[in-house]
Amino acid sequence: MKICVCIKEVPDSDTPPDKLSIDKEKLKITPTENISSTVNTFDLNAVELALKFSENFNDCEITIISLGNNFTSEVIKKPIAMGADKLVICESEKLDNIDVYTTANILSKMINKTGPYDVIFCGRHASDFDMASVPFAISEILEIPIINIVRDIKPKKNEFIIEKIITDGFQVLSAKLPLVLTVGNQAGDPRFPTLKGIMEASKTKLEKIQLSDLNLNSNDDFVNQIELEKIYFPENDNQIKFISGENNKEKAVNLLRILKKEGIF
Amino acid sequence: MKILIIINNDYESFDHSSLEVFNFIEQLSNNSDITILAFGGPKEIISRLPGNNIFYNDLKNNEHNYNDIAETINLFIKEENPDFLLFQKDDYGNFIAPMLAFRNKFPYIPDVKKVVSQTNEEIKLIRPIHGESAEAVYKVYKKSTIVIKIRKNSFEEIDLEREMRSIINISLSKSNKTNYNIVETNKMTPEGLQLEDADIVVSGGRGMGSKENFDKITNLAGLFNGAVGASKAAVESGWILPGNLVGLTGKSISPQLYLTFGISGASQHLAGCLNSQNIISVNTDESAPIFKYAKFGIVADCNDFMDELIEELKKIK
Repeated sequence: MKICVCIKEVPDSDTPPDKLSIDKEKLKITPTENISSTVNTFDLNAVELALKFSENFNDCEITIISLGNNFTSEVIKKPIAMGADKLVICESEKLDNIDVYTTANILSKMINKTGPYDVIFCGRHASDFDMASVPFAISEILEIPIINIVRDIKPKKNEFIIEKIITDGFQVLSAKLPLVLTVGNQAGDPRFPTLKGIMEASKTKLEKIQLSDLNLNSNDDFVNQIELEKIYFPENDNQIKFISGENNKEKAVNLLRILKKEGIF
Repeated sequence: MKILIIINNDYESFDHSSLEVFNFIEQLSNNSDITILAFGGPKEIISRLPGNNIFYNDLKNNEHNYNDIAETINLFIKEENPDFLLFQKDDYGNFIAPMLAFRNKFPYIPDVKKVVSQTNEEIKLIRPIHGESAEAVYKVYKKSTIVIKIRKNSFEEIDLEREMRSIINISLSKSNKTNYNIVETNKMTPEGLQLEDADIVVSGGRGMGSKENFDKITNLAGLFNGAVGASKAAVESGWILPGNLVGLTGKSISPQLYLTFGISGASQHLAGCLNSQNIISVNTDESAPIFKYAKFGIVADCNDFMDELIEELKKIK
């Protein structure tokens, strides 16, 4: 069984806006000093599900794939510390401001070069631009069917049983491989790296693929279909009023009085 | 301007947020040629949507067959060659919109909340990014069909028309781009008033501390005749069903009053509730991000405060 997980390094999504700044030239959000980037949380959920799935097979290899510019080595190696086998990256300044289609094009070529894979796992969306699009583009480019927001996949006879999240519930599907699967937090928290895993990760060499090795056609593969023009933090002129009171009882009485006065309740 | 709009509903229900998409269309142009392609939903409502042509499949026994729906829409795209292909944000749109955009190599912009400007050559649109803590302006050239998914609660709902129009029934095409079958569908719709329909929503987060404490949220919501919401932390702790989740990966709500207890206000939660008209938050930490968006705040232990609030509310009921 050959498995691939596509991951992205992003600013930590739990970072409050006042600890983030906007790089107006590169048009991206960057954490201010002393705050590190992370692997997109949903991508780590995808790594977790890939690891769980791999436990069903004696012979299984998990390859992590990523592209970008200025990777943080210890961040991007986290999936290896969790137990994945290989890490393949494509790093270039040219990859700084590319749209989802270009991203998916390059990832697909990396997948073709290192694959073929039986399952391609991706996070349901990346927390920086929230596009939830790249896995669908990979599915279309590679002509591999996609199932989104999967929380479990298990082998059963000649098929695979998949649980997929839908609004207010879930569905059970029976599927054949290959598949592209997107994964959210419902797949379970990413496991903590083991000491052995961390040692392994520090020894693991990043396998680098150069853009020039991917036979990209600059006319076709490098054209952004949508142009990011500006990013900004919306102004927030909200002025909160704190409700006071000697104790919680008084605060509760005051809240109800204000709700009534304002006509809210 | 030629517009193809996709309206998806589970069998026999109608999601009113699709009426917001028509407001977006009005902002594009007041003279559009609108084709509606509706899957599921009650026919008497679908027939009152303002389209020049309405095509309909009731999706009976075919709910959630996304690949077949996508294939059917794709035939319409080829036939109509629209300037814009529009989706609402729901399970169907999240899947089918990016899929068809990339299948046809069309530009795709999800979660659009505002039109900035438009010329004959290009359009500029705003969408939230980074868990809605920031916004981005995108420019798209009108060289081919542009695929757009509309963010919920960003545009006003239009009124349904009085007159019913004729509907053309269509059958679903069969997709060959699938290698899986649906074995079963399990819906666990939250009990009581639904989050999206409620004027008042009471939500609890990590600060509630336990399932027993969280049950008080349900109690308080009942006293307010409101619905129960929750943060990701509360859902992941198993205190409440995932269907009650408010946020980027849950429900987007816009009630008159949104009361939060023990929710700090991570951007992923704010993404689902910032359209509330009045946010009132209770938290022990005065610097909690939720207070930046709340109209009124109470710095208190949320459990203690809730007990008092329930007592006082019972007195005036």
